[in-house]
Amino acid sequence: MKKNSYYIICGILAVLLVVLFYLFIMICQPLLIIPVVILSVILCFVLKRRIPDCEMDERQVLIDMKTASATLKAGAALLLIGNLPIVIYAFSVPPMIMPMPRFHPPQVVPLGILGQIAIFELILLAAVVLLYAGIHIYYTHKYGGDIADEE
Amino acid sequence: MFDLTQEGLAKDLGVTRQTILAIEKGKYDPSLELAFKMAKRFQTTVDELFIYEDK
Repeated sequence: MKKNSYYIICGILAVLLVVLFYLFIMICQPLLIIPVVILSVILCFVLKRRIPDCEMDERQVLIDMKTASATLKAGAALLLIGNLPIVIYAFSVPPMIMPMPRFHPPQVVPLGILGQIAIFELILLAAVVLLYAGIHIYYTHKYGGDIADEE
Repeated sequence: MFDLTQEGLAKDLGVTRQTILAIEKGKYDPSLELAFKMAKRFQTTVDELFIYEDK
């Protein structure tokens, strides 16, 4: 399998996951998304191993290690900063919570506190993924990964 | 002298062409193993092939 075919299949899988995500919301089956995501990850992993020109040399391993380490540190800080207010809110005694005056837009489906936290966590997760991509680009550039040079 | 391309050298050493380029440009320091492989490939010694510079 070619590398490009792998990326196309991954893209199709991502679109399929979004469609299924929407479908599971419609039929109100939240737990079904778990096996679907696990199967998709396994499928991507198996397909990646079938790419013959997927070379990993010591420089790429170093870039991956540095990226993982930096993302872990930055991600931990981000999650801590993001979650501490929620923990404070959860442990606050009721009189300490001051009602905040704000507009409440009309909601079709009322979103409970659990749903709000889940969406907030997803946003944090997306931020960590973006952080990983940024750090990876930085280290790839640092170790000369995108040098276009003639022979 | 050796009539080598970057692609050919990369293949011989089991790395990617980007790694050879990065070493040439001084952007990446190879591991000891790779340095010895390169020295062997060019029939020389590591200290002849690489110069240590304080950064």
